Amino acid sequence: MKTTSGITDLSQRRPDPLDFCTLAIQQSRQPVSRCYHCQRCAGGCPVAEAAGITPERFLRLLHLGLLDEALESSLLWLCVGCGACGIRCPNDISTDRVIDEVRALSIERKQIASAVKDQRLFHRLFLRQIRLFGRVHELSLAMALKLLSKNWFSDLLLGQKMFFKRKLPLLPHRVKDRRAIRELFDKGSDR
Amino acid sequence: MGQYGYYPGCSISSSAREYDRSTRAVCATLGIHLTELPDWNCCGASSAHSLSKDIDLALSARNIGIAHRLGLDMVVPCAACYNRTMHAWQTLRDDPEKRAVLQAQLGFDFRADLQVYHLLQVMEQHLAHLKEAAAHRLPEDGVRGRRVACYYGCLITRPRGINPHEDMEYPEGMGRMLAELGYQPLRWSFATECCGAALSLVRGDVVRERVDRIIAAAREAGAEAVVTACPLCQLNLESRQSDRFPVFYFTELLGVALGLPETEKWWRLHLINPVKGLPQRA
Amino acid sequence: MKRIGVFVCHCGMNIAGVIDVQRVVEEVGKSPGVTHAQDYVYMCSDPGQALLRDTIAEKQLNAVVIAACSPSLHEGTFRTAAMRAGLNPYQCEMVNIREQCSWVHSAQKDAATEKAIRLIQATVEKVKQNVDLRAGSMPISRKALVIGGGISGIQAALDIAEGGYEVFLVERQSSIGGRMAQLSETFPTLDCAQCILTPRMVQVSKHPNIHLMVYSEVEAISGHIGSFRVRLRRKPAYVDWSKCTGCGECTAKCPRLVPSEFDRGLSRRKAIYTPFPQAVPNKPVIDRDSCIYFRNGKCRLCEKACPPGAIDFEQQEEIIEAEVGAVVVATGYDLLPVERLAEYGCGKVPDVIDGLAFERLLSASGPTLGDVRRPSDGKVPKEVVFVQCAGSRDPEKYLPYCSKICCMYTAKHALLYKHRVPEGQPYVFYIDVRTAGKGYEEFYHRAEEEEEVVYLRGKVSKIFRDGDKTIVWGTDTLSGRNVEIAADLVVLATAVVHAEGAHELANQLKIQLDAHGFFSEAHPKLRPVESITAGFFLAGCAQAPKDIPDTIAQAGCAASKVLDLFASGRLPTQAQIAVVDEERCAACGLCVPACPYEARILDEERNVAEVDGSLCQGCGLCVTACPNKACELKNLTPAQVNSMVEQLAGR
Repeated sequence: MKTTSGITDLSQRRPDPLDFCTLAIQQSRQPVSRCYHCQRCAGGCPVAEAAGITPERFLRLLHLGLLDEALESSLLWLCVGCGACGIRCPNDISTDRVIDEVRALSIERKQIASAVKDQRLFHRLFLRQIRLFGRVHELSLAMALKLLSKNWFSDLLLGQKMFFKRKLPLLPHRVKDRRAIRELFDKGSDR
Repeated sequence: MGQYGYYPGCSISSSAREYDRSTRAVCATLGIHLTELPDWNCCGASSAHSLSKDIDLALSARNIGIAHRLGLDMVVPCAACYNRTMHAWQTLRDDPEKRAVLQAQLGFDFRADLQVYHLLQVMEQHLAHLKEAAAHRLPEDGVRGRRVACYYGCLITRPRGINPHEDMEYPEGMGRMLAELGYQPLRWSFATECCGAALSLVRGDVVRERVDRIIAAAREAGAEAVVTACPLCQLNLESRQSDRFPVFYFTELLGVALGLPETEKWWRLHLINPVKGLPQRA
Repeated sequence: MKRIGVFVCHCGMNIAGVIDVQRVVEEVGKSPGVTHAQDYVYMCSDPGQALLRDTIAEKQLNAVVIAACSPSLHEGTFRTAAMRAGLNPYQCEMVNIREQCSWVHSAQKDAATEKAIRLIQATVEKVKQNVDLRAGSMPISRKALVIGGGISGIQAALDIAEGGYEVFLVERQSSIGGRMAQLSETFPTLDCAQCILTPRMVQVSKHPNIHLMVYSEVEAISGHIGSFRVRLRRKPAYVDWSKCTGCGECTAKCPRLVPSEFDRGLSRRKAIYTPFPQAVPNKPVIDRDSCIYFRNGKCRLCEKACPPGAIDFEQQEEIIEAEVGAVVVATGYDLLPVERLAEYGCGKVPDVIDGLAFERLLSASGPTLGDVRRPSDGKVPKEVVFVQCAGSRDPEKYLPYCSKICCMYTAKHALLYKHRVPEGQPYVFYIDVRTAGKGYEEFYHRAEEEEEVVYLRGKVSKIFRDGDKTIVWGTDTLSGRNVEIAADLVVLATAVVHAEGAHELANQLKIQLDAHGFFSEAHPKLRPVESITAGFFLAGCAQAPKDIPDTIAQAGCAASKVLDLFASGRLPTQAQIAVVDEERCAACGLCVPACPYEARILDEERNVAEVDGSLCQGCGLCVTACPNKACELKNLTPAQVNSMVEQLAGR
């Protein structure tokens, strides 16, 4: 999309990224084109600083069909879905829902980007646990996450403290009807 | 007095044990009957809806199905579980296509007259009874009557429409209830500011920053403690704080007002002993 | 014996905050002839005026001096109050101790107090010698002249005509309709412009009170409000309209083609032509500069083709003289020429056009019959870039002001383009989107959302040609990047500027223009339709850029001012006018050229100079011009002036 001098060439908007963006916006059912960048969402977003991009900027990328950049932004994975953007937007745009759509679509189309890999890992491990047990077992979830993200020593003390207060049971609680749970996963799309 | 299907959520038996205990104790004292939903599953929290809308819906719909089969309204202590369950409930109510698919898949008939409540709402419904029960107890206690900052977190009142009972920016239910029981809830600006939620394990630094600001705001408002209604909020506020500011579950404060003897045990379960952190009374 | 009342107003803190009003009252009260002196918080208020009236009655005052703000604000108020208490209004004088004292000497309270005392004392002396005066009135002509036959002139003319008065509607083109006739559809309703305009054009042409004079201009004008003498020149059309049936044969046969002004150069017209199909009157004119016959004596095909023989190469201009009481200036606007915008191609890139040209492309009766095609090769443009603020809001290089209508018409253009070319992509470069009217914000959102117009926030830096594409370099601040678009067509929303000939007209009418060539209003907030010169009213874009709803409103307002003027049929005249002492007058005639209002005449028979009381404004120039001191102003005689000066000097 960028010319050699670094300018974004809009008249060559490739149909594929545009379609993806249009579809994501449509499925989110949010009136994204109404955004006039007042920055209300930006000011209230808890992760905007950490992500280096504000919600309305993210929407702008989608609106212009600049998909690659949207997918590569950290906001896609740092968004916690707190909903502050949505309730403060004068145009009633819940950007968190748009972000959910973009994420889901990127998984569906296998166009997953690499920013904040560990948060995606966290979500995947979380769901894997539910698929296996029907409920989340915090101890093994945390351990698996730390191991796989090679973050072996962080929160070790916290984990210890919680363990000794019996807040991290050794064994998982399990749902009896795990077959129903597995079916539920197999019917829905899951990555 | 009241019969509810209790949907505890995954944290209740682990990181939020004191929440579960205080809830059950308070309800028992008031004669509110909690039937734990048999074979309930995880709601998916933020992970399900982040990766798949279908799975997110189905997980909560299954729990609703279980409650429906028992013919009970649901009461949910955790804000995230409440948010996901309510979302599924509203979808089942408003989207005939999805309702048909989920009903067939999960084998139940949706009933719009069976409600989903957050624990706060149920307690508010029983406020008169609470007051009456509390009136007979002696007020002398290091915790009773403290100045508190009620922290709702981001999911109890958002998005728009998920909670018809509360104002989105300055909710008041918890404060009103605690005020009736002799506490002094303060007006402050961080009641619904997100703590950073599920980022805690991967980006603990972001959560720490958010938590420190929330605690600082509570301090500035003149609070002696923060009160929560969500296991993840509580966990983050306690584990990621740079200080040792007291954080209570609201049900624990109700328990104190009711003069329940087992409160001592709850304090020991906290990561930061909340009672030790309270300033001396004049 | 004069019994004078002096009232010193505090004007809240405006006067009392600087001047020691108590002291003033005390000092002034000592002057002989001052029967009553007091201060009051707000003299202009209802209780203040009641105080004035009551005190006049109670103390049997026969003259009052009110020390307060500027007479231009409240002289009328106090004179009316005094009149209601039975005084002759000219026995009521104001002294300005606010703008001319407390406001300018706020740091020197003592000196300001002294000055106020002296000012009041001076006026007291004047008032002692004031005589009762009576204002006269003069009859006025109750006919109006409306210059300009666009929608503003049309509306003003209709409103005045409906009020029962005769109107001369003068339009320099051969048809009325103005800019609105060039538009395709109007925002926000998307009404077809001609459909809503032509009924009014027809109404004007048929109205018994309106003398429609097209292809005419104002040749000369003299006189003053209520009594203007105008000379109107009807240019020769070289077609006898009384014979012409409007059949169009002449136009069909004419071999000479020139660029059409109406189509902004996108098409060509004949040398004999009607400007557009819905023209009113629908009669052709011959453009002398292009006509082959006038250039080299050949051709005359139109004459041969005309069945009723209406062509008349010998036709002369006609002069019509009229007397009117009021003039409405409704001369409209023009657009900054694209040629002026060097960074946007200097007018040399064929596919860079302005907003009015795009209107012609959209118009069903335009050069492409409503198909949007680019000028260079007639292809249907798939990528169209609209550039807002082309020349507006640019104090350094072009014009500092906002042209007001462009954000809306650009949204309209983008929307209409998308209707015609559904697979096309319109882009709009903007700085802001200003949609202040009723339904305007919603219209803009419709364009953005329904028609998927891509709005990019940033001013375009450069436009140039590359092969058969037109390259646009701009920015989108909302995503923080530079963007480039290879467009098929670029439409510039060029700045709205004054109409051609505005300066000449202003000179002719002797009315004021502002720095940008728009006619000046008497007060920007409270008097938007009156010129500073009495008798001239303004309507439409001649005064400032505006859209059609505002134009109609303003035209109606101007018309209502004219109707006010005409209602009584008479105009009050000045009472404080000059008088000639006929004994002293030597008939030297120096006062005559001295008078700016042409109110002095030399009566050669009686050998005296005379004052026309209905024209004299009491300015006093003739008083100073007269070498014999044979002239004085009523209620400002030399004796009065001398007494005032003595007071001011402190004697």
